Amino acid sequence: MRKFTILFLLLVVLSCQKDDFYIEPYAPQALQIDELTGIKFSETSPTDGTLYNLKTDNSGTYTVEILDITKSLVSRNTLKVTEGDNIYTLYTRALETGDYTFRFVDQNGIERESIKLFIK
Amino acid sequence: MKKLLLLLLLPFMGLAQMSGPTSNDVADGEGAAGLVYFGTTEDANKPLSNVQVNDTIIMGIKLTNWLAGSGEVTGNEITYAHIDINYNKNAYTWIDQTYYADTTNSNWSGAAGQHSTNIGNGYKWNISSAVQAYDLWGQWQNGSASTNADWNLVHLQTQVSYGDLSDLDALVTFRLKVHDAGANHDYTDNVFIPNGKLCDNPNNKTYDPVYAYENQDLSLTPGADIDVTAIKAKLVMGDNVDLTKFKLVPLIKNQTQDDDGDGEPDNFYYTIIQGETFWVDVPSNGIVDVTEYITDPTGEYAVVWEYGAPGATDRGFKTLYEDVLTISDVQLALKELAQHGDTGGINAAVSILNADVAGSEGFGDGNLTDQDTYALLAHVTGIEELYIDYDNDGDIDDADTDAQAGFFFRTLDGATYTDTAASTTYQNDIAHGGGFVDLDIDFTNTTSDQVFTKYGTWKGDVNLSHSPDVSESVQNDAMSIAYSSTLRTTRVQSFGEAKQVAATVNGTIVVEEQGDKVVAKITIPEGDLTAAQIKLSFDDTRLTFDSVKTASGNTTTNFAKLSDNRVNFGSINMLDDKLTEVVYEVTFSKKGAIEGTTGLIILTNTDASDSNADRVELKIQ
Repeated sequence: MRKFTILFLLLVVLSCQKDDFYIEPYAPQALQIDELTGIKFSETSPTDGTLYNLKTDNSGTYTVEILDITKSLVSRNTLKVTEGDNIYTLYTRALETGDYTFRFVDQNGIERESIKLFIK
Repeated sequence: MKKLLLLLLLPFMGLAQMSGPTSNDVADGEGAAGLVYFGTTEDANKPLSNVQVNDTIIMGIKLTNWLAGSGEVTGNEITYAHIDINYNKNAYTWIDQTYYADTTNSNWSGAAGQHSTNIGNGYKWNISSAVQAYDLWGQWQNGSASTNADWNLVHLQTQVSYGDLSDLDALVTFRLKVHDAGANHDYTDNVFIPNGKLCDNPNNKTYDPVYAYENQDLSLTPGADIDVTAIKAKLVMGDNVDLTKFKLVPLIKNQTQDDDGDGEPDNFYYTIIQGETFWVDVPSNGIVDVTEYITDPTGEYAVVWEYGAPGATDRGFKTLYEDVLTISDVQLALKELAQHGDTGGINAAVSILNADVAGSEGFGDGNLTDQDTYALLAHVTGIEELYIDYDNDGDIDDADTDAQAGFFFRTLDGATYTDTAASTTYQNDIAHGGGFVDLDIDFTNTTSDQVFTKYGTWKGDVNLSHSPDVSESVQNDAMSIAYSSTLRTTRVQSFGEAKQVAATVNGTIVVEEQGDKVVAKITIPEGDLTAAQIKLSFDDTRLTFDSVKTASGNTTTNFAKLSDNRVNFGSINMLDDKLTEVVYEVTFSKKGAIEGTTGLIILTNTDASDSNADRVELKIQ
């Protein structure tokens, strides 16, 4: 009986041990992209806290540029991406209501995605 | 106090109302007749409250039939009506009447009516206390008329062989010419329905009771007879100022009230519009028609341009002013002071007044000195802002800045700045400051619009970035403004020229996460710049501002200022040395977990100045 108890406790300890497997970011249904690459927001009229998926075919550092309605740059942010889905949050509290273009540029300066959104 | 003010303003305002019993009062009624207002002969949509002396108003009588049939239920039709109208001859003249139970009226499907009108000259109906005053059939049976030289009693009668007279929008309309009955006249109930009778003759039915419903009487204190076409107030500002943020407050001076008891009128201005919202909105073109508030040809009128709604907790002035007074304004003032000594000089007379900020709350002391340039620089760098603790609560918050907006805003009519001490409003704590505008109305002008245009500018807006383009003539007139004689002027420059951008310099911005920090890195390349300023907005629910770090040389002054969720920072070299490449690292701490930095930090404004103190467009790419 004692042996069984020790064996059982050992199994419990081992089962709680951290796995070393890599888990790819999970893209919720609303953010899944069928194509190899792309950009998708969880809402058609994004608000503060809206999630978006930047799906890439490579890993590296991207930048997302936010341009206002006059095409003037109002923000440029770096994003460290992995191949596949990359889920981020859009923060809008600092943005005035209006039309904005979001440009996603890879480390070679090539625009990979671009989307125009109305932010309120 | 409000009641007192209302009473004082009564002579200037057209007060009007119609009244009658409530729906509960008439719940047992079989029929009713009520007064209806159909506008004036000049304007069918003219509000009753805007009726003036010499207008002709159109009144009507509308019948209600509570015994009418419905569906398969056969009811009664009102085929006979006589309704009396009693009116005061001092306040009105009866012009004529029109009956509508007529075959020429396409809206009438009944038989042709027989009508009669009898005017009893010099009679007033004595309301019987035996029945309610609004019981018209009861009054007809119990009341009586007596002679009264001030009143006329009109007996209006219609009869048809079939059809329901209550189907008409009005059984009859009548026109009344409005008079000024004198200062002591009581205009209450000067038109009323004293009695009436309704019948369904084919069915031998007399309606009982018949009530005066919805309105039995009219009380109208007409406004003065003013025939000006249109009185408009117009505000002109820089293109980058949203005029819809302004509110316009119409005012009238009370020329009789003596609140301080010194035996002389105080001559305070009062808001014309009563209640909490005593202002009107301003459209994007800055033109507001205030004609409806001009009711007294002897009155002295004014308006106040207010930035934001008066009394609102956050009128947004501070946010605007962060863009108005920036580093290039300081550099321009410094340049001019350095070139022209303590007596000062600047390239536009309007500019010099805007630069003259030290000396008083509203206006400066008439001289451009190093005290002014220091005050300008201290404000931009955050050492000591131009705002004061206006409400004396120990801090300078939005309540202070909003209350002071009027003292930062200045209007120019082409000849002088508005004198802030010229007159005082008494009501609603209107701190009119520079936004006060006298309306010098020509009441004899009945053929053309009178537009009172003001050019708005701001204390501290030295380079006129948020001030209007003005014509050459206005600009030349501006040279004669009150204080300019003490200031040497080097060259004349219009608003438009002052706003000219000398060149464009491109910088860059990158925002990235660094552990538990988020850092915005802004780089401005070396060029001809002697001053630069950048404003960032950030999401203060997710970030806390930590610091701005930069290296820009030993002779350059760097500054950073936090206001709410905005960071203003930059550099200025007051020795005219050009800035080397400047890199600003603006660091924020995360308040919690974030997923990316998209939208957390936003560039909202930039400003720069070159070695000639001309503005330079600092473009961040």
